[in-house]
Amino acid sequence: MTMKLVAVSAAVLLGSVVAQSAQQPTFSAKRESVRVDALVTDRGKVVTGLGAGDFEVRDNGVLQTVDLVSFQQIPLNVFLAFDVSASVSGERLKHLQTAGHTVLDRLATEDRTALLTFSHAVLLREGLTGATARVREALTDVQPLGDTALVDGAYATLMLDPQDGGRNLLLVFSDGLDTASWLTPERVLDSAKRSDFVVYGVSSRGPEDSKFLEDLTELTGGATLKIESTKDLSAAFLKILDEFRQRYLISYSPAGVAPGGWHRLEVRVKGRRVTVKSRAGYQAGA
Amino acid sequence: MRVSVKRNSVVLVVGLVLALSPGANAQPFSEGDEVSPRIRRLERWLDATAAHRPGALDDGVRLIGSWNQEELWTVWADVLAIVSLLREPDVSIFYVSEPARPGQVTRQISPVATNRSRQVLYAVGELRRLRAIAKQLSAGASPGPENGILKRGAMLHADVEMLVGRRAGQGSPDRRGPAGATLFFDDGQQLGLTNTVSHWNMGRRLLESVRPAESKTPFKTRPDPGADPTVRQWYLAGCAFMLRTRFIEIDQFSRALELFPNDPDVLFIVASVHEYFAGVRTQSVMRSMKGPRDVNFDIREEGAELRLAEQLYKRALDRNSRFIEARIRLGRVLGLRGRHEEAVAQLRQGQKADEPLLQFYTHLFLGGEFEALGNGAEARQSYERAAALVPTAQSPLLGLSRVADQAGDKAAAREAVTRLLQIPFHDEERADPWWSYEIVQARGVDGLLNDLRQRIVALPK
Repeated sequence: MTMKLVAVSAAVLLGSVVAQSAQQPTFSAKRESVRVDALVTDRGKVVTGLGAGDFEVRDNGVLQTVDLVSFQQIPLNVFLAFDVSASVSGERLKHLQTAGHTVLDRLATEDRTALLTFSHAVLLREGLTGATARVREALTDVQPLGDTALVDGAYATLMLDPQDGGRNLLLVFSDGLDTASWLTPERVLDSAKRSDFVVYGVSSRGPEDSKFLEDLTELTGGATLKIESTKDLSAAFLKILDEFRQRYLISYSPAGVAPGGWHRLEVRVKGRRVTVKSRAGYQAGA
Repeated sequence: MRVSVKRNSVVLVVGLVLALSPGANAQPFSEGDEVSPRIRRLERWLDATAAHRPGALDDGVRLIGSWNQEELWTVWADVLAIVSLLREPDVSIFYVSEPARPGQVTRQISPVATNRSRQVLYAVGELRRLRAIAKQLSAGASPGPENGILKRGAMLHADVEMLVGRRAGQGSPDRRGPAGATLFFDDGQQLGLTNTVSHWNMGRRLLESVRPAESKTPFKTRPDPGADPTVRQWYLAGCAFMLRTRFIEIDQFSRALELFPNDPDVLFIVASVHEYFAGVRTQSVMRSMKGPRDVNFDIREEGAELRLAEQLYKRALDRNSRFIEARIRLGRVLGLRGRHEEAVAQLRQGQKADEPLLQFYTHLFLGGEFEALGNGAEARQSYERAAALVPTAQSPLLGLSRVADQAGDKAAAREAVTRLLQIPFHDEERADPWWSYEIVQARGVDGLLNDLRQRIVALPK
């Protein structure tokens, strides 16, 4: 498999998270917290076993008190947003369907998934559900057609409301240049600052064509994988799912910072030379 | 006689063309060896153009659609010789001049090198035959039969493009002749770059020699295609067809503008192709194009194309201030250039449009401009109007959602997306005029072509 990791950055989630137990976290909406989704690696290997005391979080440069860190404990909401424009036909479609099924096979029973496709039209094939068989069927029924509205498709998915405290992964695949979107990349990136999704992208196009996807994934703390061929899709999807599962979900209640506007985030692990990938910031007051 | 434009010879012409079809073994056009293959080809061309019913995929279209670049170049030169003979029967030296291509750089080596004219030589027998053909064509015909031949020829070649399509492999890198590099691309990706024969090019070459009776130029042999309404119609219909099919020959638009620089319809359609070229679909493939260095499609970067589009829309509006569609498009271009206040001023006038489609675009673009100006209330109102005009359109709903999200109203943002996701699922049940904005200005192509065909049919024979 030929695959290149392009964007390596950060993930932040703005939500309402309160720790009730460090061992079995539950979430409520009693007060506003900030959730930061972070991947910690040491020379490419995921670092496990860290607790709240291991993390140092700065919000606009102000050190925060970390309330909670969870790892592989919270169910996933996996939103699949797939390009099904005319260019994704024949073998490419088969590869995409196989890769999608592979993701569904790897979901845990408490995880949920949704499928949205975009060509020129944005279509919700299956809303968020634990019934993966329905998503599988919807994916099998897809027929490639028309132009590509990647920006519109990504935006519509970001606006889907999971209505729970799960961790939201948006997995976007596109092989085409955006030729049909009404929304501009700048406006959707602005909206992404207010969403609580971590976006991962898989692209089989050149750097210019996937710039929006790279910007979106970087902003939300995910990454864009570039593949040479759609044959590599299944491996790319699994790499993303595995990586996402191994991220820490850090929660803190902002203190000493202005309530609104853009908040720059820095996440470190105390006393260790490791790499932390988390989103660059979040838009408060939205 | 094999070639005639007389009515009673048309049946013969058709019959002769049919005799060329596979399986035919006779040589009915030939008068023996005295007719060279070159002249025979010219006669076939004349027969085919005379017999051709505009818009019909007949044998003439198929035959001429099979000719290669060299054959077409020769026919073009020979048709011009006939035109010369019809205008000046005593002429004995013939020249052709390769049409200049926009963006083509001619390196000046010597005075001779800058002269693109070249003499066309004929054998004595060929010249005799050419004179006989010219005499036959002029006998009993209306004044200026050559104009009819040229226009019918241009119509036939346009029909080859529209009915047969373009084939790779018929062209060569040789700059001589009606051919050029054709870039095939899809989804912003280059699929191929190849030399193809262009029958649009052939049509343009022929029309260059048209001189209508109403021409006011001082020399009666000097062509004046810009004064001919059928030539204008041919260019307009061709431009619209190219836009609708997204198979665009830039020279068609460039030459239309040169010939009809004050025609608001021409200015509009040429402006719209520059707006199209500014789009991501073209810009992306131009940036990544792989091909010979001397291949130049004369497409500028996005900002320059938008600037050109703005200038041309303004010129169209200077000549027809009630050209609402030009005003709407100018508004969009101004918005893309970051001049949102000016864009709003133009788009507000677009609200006078009678056509619901144009009203939709007006409100959609106003929504975008108000959003850019931070006027959420007006943006919301405009998007709602667009959504009311076309309830199955997703673009205004995305705009509504985005405006709400920017205002921090996540519930309203999600509600608009929910409306979008409830639009009927199947493509035939949903429509969003935004998807066809790039080519919608060519929606009148059928009317333009019908008008052109009627003009050609009405030409005196």
